[in-house]
Parts: sequence; structure tokens; C-alpha cells
Amino acid sequence: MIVLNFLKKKIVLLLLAVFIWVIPVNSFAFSIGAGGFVPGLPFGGLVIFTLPCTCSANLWIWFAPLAPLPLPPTGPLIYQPGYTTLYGDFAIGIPTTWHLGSYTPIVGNGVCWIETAVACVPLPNLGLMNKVGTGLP
Amino acid sequence: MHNYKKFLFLGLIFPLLFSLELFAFELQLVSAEEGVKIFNKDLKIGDNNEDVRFLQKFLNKNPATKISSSGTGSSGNETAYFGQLTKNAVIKFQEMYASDVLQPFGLKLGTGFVGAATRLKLNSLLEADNKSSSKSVAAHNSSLPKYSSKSSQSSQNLSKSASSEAKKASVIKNSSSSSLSSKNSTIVRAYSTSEYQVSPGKTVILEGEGFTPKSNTIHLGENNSIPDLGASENGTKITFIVPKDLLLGKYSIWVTNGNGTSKSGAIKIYIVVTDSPAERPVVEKVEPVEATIDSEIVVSGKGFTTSRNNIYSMFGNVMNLNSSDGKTIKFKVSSMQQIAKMNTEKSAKNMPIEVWFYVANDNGYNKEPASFIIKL
Repeated sequence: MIVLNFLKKKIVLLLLAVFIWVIPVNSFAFSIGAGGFVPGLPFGGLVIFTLPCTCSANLWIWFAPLAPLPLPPTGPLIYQPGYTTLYGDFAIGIPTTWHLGSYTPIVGNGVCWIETAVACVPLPNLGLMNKVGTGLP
Repeated sequence: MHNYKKFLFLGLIFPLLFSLELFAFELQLVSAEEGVKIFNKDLKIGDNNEDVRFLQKFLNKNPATKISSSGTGSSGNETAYFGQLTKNAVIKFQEMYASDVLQPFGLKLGTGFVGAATRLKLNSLLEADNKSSSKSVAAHNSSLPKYSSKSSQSSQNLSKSASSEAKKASVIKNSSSSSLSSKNSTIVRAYSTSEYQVSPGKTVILEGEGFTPKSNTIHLGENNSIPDLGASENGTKITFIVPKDLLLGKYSIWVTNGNGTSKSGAIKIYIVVTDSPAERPVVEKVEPVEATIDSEIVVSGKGFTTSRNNIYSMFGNVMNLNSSDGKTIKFKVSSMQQIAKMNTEKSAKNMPIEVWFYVANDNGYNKEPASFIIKL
């Protein structure tokens, strides 16, 4: 009977400990955005060229190299002011800086529109950056 | 019993202390975000919130960007309303820092819209101002609003993105992508028409963004307008009929609606109204498929004009090309200015780069981009 009581106390304490550990740690992780849902696909790459999309007011940024799969080893992604969340060091699209973030793939053309003499035309690209952090040039 | 106390300490007290530590850290983060202030959302005319007051206070610090010298909006009389005076001050600010705010987007004139680039500049100035004021005790009396450091800004952005990004689609499809670009704004932009040369009475689709579900007005030049048009595909397309009584000619085309106007001094799109529309350029073949920087590209197709064919690509434009037969155009890869620049980038060596381009001339432009591959 003494052993049983001791085990009961132990189980209650264990549950309490787990509760105290799990709830704050999880809520903390959630509060800084690290928990659960991180949408988009990851990407990382070195910028070699940036084109301002004159009609749509965003940036078409060419990376070489670019990773990981299913991305090709080189190609363009779109940085959209007001949509893409930008983190330090804020050197967006500057050649020779490394970028790391997440993107949403784009099927077809669109998002980046450049000017011709008669109309704006869309430039193909691999996707729209959801968020991106950069290195320094 | 001794083991029981040990267990109590390790199993309960230690985690409790640890969680309190975490909780304190969370509180620190929250208070850091509450105590400091940055511009973390877009602002535009018509907005009414405390961020606007904060913006006005900031702009009033510099005589060159003052909202007003006296009365409403002047220093000490800031309001939460983003009106024309605030817009004018924002324009002045944007033009003052044009190289950071406007030029990256090919703009020369301020827009009055406080978007990401403008906010980035405002926040960097706030940060610089705070750094200089923190060095001086006397500067504590400064009325300049506080700012957040990059780290607190990042944590703020992280938590913001966690909720907002969950709403994003996993794949963005062609036409709806344009509406995504206007997620945080209501800027009206007109990009292109389904036909460049068109006869009166024909149906045309105008593509752009920021169109309202109804009450859009299409303007064809200064003197012609078609009111009360609805938009489809998430505000990216307007279908209209070219008036039968419209005089033949070349018209600049733009849209006005409740969100504003797409009319821009810098970017203009056109439509040509004619009784005999010419065939727009069509690219059928590009050779070689794989090129080097020394290659000559031969573009075969139709709808090319004998002169003034222009190539528009992401790596530079090649202008005034001739086509004696109207079926072929030739140009050197090296004539694309940015390609030559990229040739010096070591990380681009031996990488297959697809160069997309359009052919534009008096007949219009090819609907789908043509391309060739280049290995630097």
C-alpha cells in the first residue's frame, strides 16, 4: 500500500513536470513563430543579378547557385515589397549576397512585369519569396 | 524520502524555474515590442490609425518633409488621419531618398504610398536617430518616437508572418499571382491588353491589378472613357468593347476606380484602334537553342516590321533591329548589356541560364516570351 501511494505521487509529479515543461516551451515557440506551420518551400542562393520590374514595382532576382531541389541550380525568384517579409541584413537583391528564405512556386508567367514601348510584359520566374534574410555584400 | 525530495527538485522545481525564465524572456520580448515603435505596416491615403500619427511626427522632424507649418498636421498637431498633406510629405520624403526608395523600382517620382521600401528607409533613419540620441543624455527629451532594433523587428516579423503566411496558397497560378502582389496595398496597375491593334467594336481584355469588382472606368486617351466596368479573376482582368464611334488612332490606356488610378507618367501602355489590325509579332523559332556570349541569335517568325523591331529581355534590350523579309531578326548575345556583366560572375560559370525575351514593334509584341539558353 505504501509502495502504491508512492507510485501514485510519482506519477502525479511526473505529469505536473511534463505539463510545466511542455506548455510554456510550446507557447514560447509559437509566440516567436517557430512552431507548427512554415509555409512555402525553402531556398538559399547567391544573387548574381537583380532586375527592377518597372511595371509591377518588385524585384526579379537571379540566383546562381540556387538550392535545394526541386529548384534548378540557377534561376529567378521574386521579391515583392509589402508581401515578402524581409529580415536582416536587408541587402535584398544586391549581387554577391547570400539569401535564405522560403518561396511559393509560380506556375506560368506573372508577378514581375517589365515595360516595353507599347505595354508591360510578364517575365517567367520560379516563385514568389514569402520571406527572406540576406547576408552582407 | 531523500529520493523523493531529489525527484521533487529535479522533476518539478527545476522545470518550474526554467519555465519562469522563459516566461520572463517572453515578457521581455513583448515589452520590447510595445515600448519601441517601427513602421511595420503599409500606409496610404485614407488610413486612420496611430501609425499615421507616428509617421507625421517623424516627417515633421525634418523641415523639408513637414506635413504643415501650422494648423492640423503641423508639429504638435499631428493626427491619425492620412490625408493629402501627409501624402505630399511622404512624396517629398520618397524623392529625398529616391536612390533607396524609388530608383530600385525604376520610379522617379514619389507615390505617397508608404510601402516596404519606404518603411525600410524610415526604420533605418529611426534607428540611426536613436543611436545618435542614445549617446547623449540630453537627447532623452527628444520627442522622436522610439524604434526597435533589427532583432526585435525580426521577432515581430516572425510572429506576424506565422499567422499571415498560413493563408498563402501552396502554388501561385499565372493570373492570380498579380493579386498577391497587391496583398498589402490597393495600387491600381494596368499591364497589357489582349490585342494591341484592334478594330472598333471588338472585345479586348485589359490585364493588371487592383481592379475593383465593379465601377472601374477605362480611359482611352484624355477624352474617351468607358465607365462601370466589372473586373474578373481577383481584380486582374477587365473586359471591355472598343467603342464603335471611337476615332482611329493610338491611345494611352489606363483605369480609375475606388482604389485610385493606373495612370502614370513613367509607365504607359497603349492600344491602337484601326480598321485593319496588323498581325502582332509571333516568334516560332530561336536559334541556336544553346548559345554562348559570342553567338548570334536568329529569331524566326512573323509580324516583324522592316525596321524598329526591339528586343526586351531581363538581361538588357536590343533596339532598332531590321527585318528585311519580316520573318527573321538577328542580334548578338553580347549586345545585351547585363549578359556581359554576368559573364564576370564566377558563380554563374557553366550554369545554364534561360534568357527570355519579347519582340516589340509597331504591330505589338509576342504574347508568350521566347527564349534561348546561354552558358557563360
